[in-house]
Amino acid sequence: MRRSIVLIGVALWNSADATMLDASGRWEGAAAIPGRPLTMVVDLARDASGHWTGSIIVPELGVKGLPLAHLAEAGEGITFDLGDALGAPSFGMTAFALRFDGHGAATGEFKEGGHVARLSLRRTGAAQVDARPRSTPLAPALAAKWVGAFDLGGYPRNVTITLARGGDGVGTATFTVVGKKTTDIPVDLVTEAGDFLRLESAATQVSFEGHVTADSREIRGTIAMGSIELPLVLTRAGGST
Amino acid sequence: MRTAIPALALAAIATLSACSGDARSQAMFRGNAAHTGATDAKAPRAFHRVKWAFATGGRIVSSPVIDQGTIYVGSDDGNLYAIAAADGRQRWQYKTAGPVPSTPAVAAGVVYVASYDGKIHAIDARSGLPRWKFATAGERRFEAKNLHGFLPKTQTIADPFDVYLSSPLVVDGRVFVGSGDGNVYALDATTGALAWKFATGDVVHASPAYADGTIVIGSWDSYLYALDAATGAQKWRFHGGEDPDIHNQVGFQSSPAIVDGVVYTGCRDSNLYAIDAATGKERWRFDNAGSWVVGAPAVARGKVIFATSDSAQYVVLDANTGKPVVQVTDKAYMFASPTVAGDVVLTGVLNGTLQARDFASGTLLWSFETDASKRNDGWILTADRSFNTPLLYTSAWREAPMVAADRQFSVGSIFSTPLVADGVVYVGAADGRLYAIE
Repeated sequence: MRRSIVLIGVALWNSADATMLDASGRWEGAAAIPGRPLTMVVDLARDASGHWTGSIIVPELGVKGLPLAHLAEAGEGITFDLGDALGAPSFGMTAFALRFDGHGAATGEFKEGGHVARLSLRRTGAAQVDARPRSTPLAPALAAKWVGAFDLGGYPRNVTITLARGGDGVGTATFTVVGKKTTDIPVDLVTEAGDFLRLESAATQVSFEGHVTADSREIRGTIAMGSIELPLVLTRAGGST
Repeated sequence: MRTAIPALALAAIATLSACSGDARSQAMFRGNAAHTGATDAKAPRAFHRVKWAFATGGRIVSSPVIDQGTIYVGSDDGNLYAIAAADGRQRWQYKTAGPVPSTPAVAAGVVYVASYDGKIHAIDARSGLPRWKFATAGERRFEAKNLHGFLPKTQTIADPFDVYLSSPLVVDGRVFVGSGDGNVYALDATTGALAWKFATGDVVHASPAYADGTIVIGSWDSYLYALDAATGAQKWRFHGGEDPDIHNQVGFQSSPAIVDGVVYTGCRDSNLYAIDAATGKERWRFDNAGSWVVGAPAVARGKVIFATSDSAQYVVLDANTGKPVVQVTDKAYMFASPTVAGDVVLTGVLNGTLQARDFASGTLLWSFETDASKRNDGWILTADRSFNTPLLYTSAWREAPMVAADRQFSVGSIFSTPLVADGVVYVGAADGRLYAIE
């Protein structure tokens, strides 16, 4: 009986330990890529519902506040990835696995491009998780199919953007570019402020932004693909969706 | 009968001229004046070993040529090297005042090469001593504002992918070569005296090909020119694509090949063109969907063989129709010009591999990987040997794209066109080494 009590006690202690995973904070260190250590800052925190949230800074890759995706506790550690960002096409998402020693150190693995490197981080302070940008409500008048065209490299590209309102009125969009091939661009941000509309795709680094004309028949702006920016005028193609 | 004798004599003289006048010499870029890129020499169908490796002090972009048992190759360390083909030992080195990413040509005991010092150099093949130098108006790389979308947009930026210099062609006592000053030059091979020059609208880093008294060469001004070899007069010009916004899809970086009255050339506008050599009219084009064709095409047995840059396509077309016969997706960018050696096609890849493919099927027979590519410091390559783009091109600002390009080439990229002689493959790499592979 004493043995059972002890076992139950150990189980309870382990259970309590599991729920007390001490991973919150700002963690700084590097992935030991051979010949090029990659320094990074990882911010981890629990949200109001107790779920893990986080963001990452990788100065050498020009990354600041990129949201962490698929955060999950795994034993005494956490696993996460970078979603569609920074992934090498054949190898999927850039992934992390961290274990925490309870004394301010975390070690684990950094997986990218089919390679694996040792990851070593130290807690340097409180978490500073970047807030994810959120789409804003979209004016009902803009919920429509919009079409336009631009030239890149001497070849025409046709653009179709379909704006819609979600249940809460927040803007959503589909974004298709047809050139030599058809590319569907995943849009993760739609913002409207005054007459200025912006659509953004973090994964592809493609965006469109422009001013809506007073009669709401055109959106005059630019399409950006990375650092390449070209003028693009969208014209309403149909009625409200 | 009286007229037949002079005709025979003229034919004999013409044959002698072709032999001694270097049109049949293998010691030049692409192996002959027409730049077919095809040789009767047999390349190995299996990799056995690296026979020797010759180390230079800079990346080798230049392609090796061979003449009388000596390999000649330029290096970005500023030297032209003469190396014994048998054992890889240096015979001499000739110092220029700039990198030498130009392929030398050898004719009548003289080696000709261009350098980033802005000069065309003529060097005694035996001694390595200079015979003459011709100063162009100066070398420069292709440059433009908003180039490839690099920042700042309004500042002129040099193209990190403009890696080659024009390679001299020697025909009938004249040296023909392009220059970053925008000119095509014809020089007296013996004295270096200017015979004529032809001005194009931008950098000329492609190399001239010759057939039937005509020099054909492309410029970064978007035109391919056919010039009278004797006078430099323009016979025709062919307009490739334009890209006024980011200058990504413009310019003839590729060098032409001329076979059976047709000019075949790649272009940065992503097309492989077949153009009538007499009229300059387009016969057909093969669209590579935005991916540059930087290397010169090889033409052999009714086929046109070339490779693309970022889409990594190895392509074999029917020379008459332009229809694809073989199309294989490789691992990484290809700038090097393919070499057809018997039933093997050799292609350098910028991931630091040399690939040997079966001519008929395109099947990979063997590949050689540089040590730098194997080490893969900084994960320049993914585990499947493709470029690890997310870790490379992280910013378009300031020197970041240049640093990224240099980092990309640090895996021993092979820009060099393979040379095949006596069953040995010679090729340079960006790790600074010239490899002899058998």
